[in-house]
Order: sequence, then structure tokens, then C-alpha cells
Amino acid sequence: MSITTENNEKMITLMSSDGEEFVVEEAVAAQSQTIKHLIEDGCSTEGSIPLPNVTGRVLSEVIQYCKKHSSSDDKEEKELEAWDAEFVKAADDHVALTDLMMAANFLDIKGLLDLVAQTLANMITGKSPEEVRRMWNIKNDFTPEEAEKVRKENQWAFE
Amino acid sequence: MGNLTLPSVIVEEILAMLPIKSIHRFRQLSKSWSSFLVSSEFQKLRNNNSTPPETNLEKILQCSAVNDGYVIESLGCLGKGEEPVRLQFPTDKYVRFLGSCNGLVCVAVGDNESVVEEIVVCNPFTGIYRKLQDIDIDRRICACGFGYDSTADDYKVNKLPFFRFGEREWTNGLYLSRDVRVGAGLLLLGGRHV
Repeated sequence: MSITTENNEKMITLMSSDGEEFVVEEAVAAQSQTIKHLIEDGCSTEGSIPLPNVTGRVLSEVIQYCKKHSSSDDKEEKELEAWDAEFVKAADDHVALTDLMMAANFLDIKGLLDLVAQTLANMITGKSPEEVRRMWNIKNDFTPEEAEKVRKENQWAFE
Repeated sequence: MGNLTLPSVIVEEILAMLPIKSIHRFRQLSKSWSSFLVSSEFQKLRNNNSTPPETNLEKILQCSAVNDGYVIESLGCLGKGEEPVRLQFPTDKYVRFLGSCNGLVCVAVGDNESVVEEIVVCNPFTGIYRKLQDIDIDRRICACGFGYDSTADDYKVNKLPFFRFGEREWTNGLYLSRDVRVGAGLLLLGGRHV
């Protein structure tokens, strides 16, 4: 469905995996390269654009980010950085951030992807391998001998 | 938390933003993470995230002698608050820094200023040292340089017979920017206090 607002902004409807609809300005939606290409291919002319990989909760966060970033220009860089910092802080934990990052990856929003990746990287920087395994259910598939070898090679990183 | 599993593309993006110490620590996570962290793809991804060459130049290594060794300071691409790395060379030897490139440091070691007994390349972060073997060192040589040859994708010590490193062995530790070229070595020479 493609409608136009009073100030002549073309509106786009996005539909999340759980059926929630979001009506946003095209300029906002086009922050996502994936959506931009869909619009260019004419997918937005009838009905809404379905986003099967993104839940409504995550999509509303993504839209918040896109709105902010489509309305700010370069002069406001500092303010935007502060806004970004608050934005990822609000995402609260690594599970929410991981969801957000997967959405940013699927929707191809480079700025958001980098922002969340950096936040997650900062989060795990000082953690032990065991803590990181627990965060993301990573299976330790080293044999004790192999584990010892890798540990020895990288001993300095634990000091 | 349930079945939170990470697609590899996500993992890669996150890992590329980690400081070097964490990267080495996380080689213990699992086999697939470990092999990815030493791969050349990871190296490239990480370089894409690092500072452009112009600004990298002001973050070049600086070496200075202390009582019991040599200390490298001011390391580019490292996280804030990381400690300077200490290089271990015998203090009764004269150590000349020939250059630094992609995070590797090349030094000539000798009994005094004008004698070169051996040339050593080391990665100060991993602590891996490699004495250059089978090279015919002119013992009185004083002008050497160390650099990365992008055409050959290999490292060279100039003023000496061409020397190749096994690529794979060194990629393990090469986490600083590849944008640091031979000029960086010159800067390093300017900043040394030996």
C-alpha cells in the first residue's frame, strides 16, 4: 500500500513476522538497503512489504533508529552519537542486541549493524571464553589436549 | 535464554571489532571460532574496520629501552587502556629497530652499534619471535628496512637477500592494520631511543 501524506512524503507499510504493521515514510524505510531494493523493484505498490525475519518488537526498534538517522544531517553528528549510545543502552541485554543485529543484517542497515556489533564486542571484550560460550550457547568442541594447546598458544591474552 | 544461536555473519562482525587480546582469548571458544580468528578473511574484515592509513600514521609503534628490555608504546588499533607490550631482548646486546609493519617489529641484534649478528622479526602481542635463518648478513650492514610488499603479499627486509615468511605462520598474529607501510618503519626509527 502506497499512500502520500500532506507534505507529500510517500508512505510505506512494513509487516513484521508476527503480522504487526508499521506505516513509515519511504525515506525512513529506505535506510534499509533491503527495503530500498524492494521499493525499487515495485514491491511496495500493492499491500505491505512483508519482513518474515523480523518480529514487531524488533522492527519498532529498527524503525526508531531509521527515523532518527534519516532526519539528522552531518552537523548533528555528536548529538546522533549520544542518541545511538542511549538507543543501544535501551536494548538492555545481549539477547535483545543480538536480535537487533540479526534484523540489521537482514535489512542491510550498515550503521545499525556496526553500532550493535560494537556494543556487543564491548560487552564481551573482558569476558572469559566460558562466559561467552554461555551467552551464545557456543559448544566447546575441543578435546582437552586441543584446548590445552590453544590455551598455551594464547596464554598472554589471559594475563 | 533458550536457543540463541548466532549466524556466522553476525559472529564475524562482532569479532572484527574486538581488541587483539580478546581475539586471542576467544580462540578457545570452539574450533570454528578458533579457525575463523586466524583466517585471512578475518584479517581482511578487521582491516576494513580499522582507521584509514592517514590517521594510522600517528599511532605507530614507539620503542624505548628500559632497564630490562624494550617497551613498545602507543599502539594503533588497540583498545584504550591496553598496556604497552614489552619486548624481551638480552640487555647486553645492542638492539636496532629496523622497522615495523602490520604489527610486526623487525630488529637487528648485535654486540655493538655497527655489528649485526642476527635479524629477528617478532610479533610483540603473541610473543612469537622468528630469527631469520639462512640469510647472509653483512655484519657491518647498517641500513636495513622492513616492509610489506603488497605485490608479493609477503614481507621483505631490504638491503638483505630477499626473505620470505611462510604466510600462514604469520597470519596468526597479524592483527594490526595492513595499511601501515614501509614509511611506518621510518617513523619508528625516528621515535626510538636505543
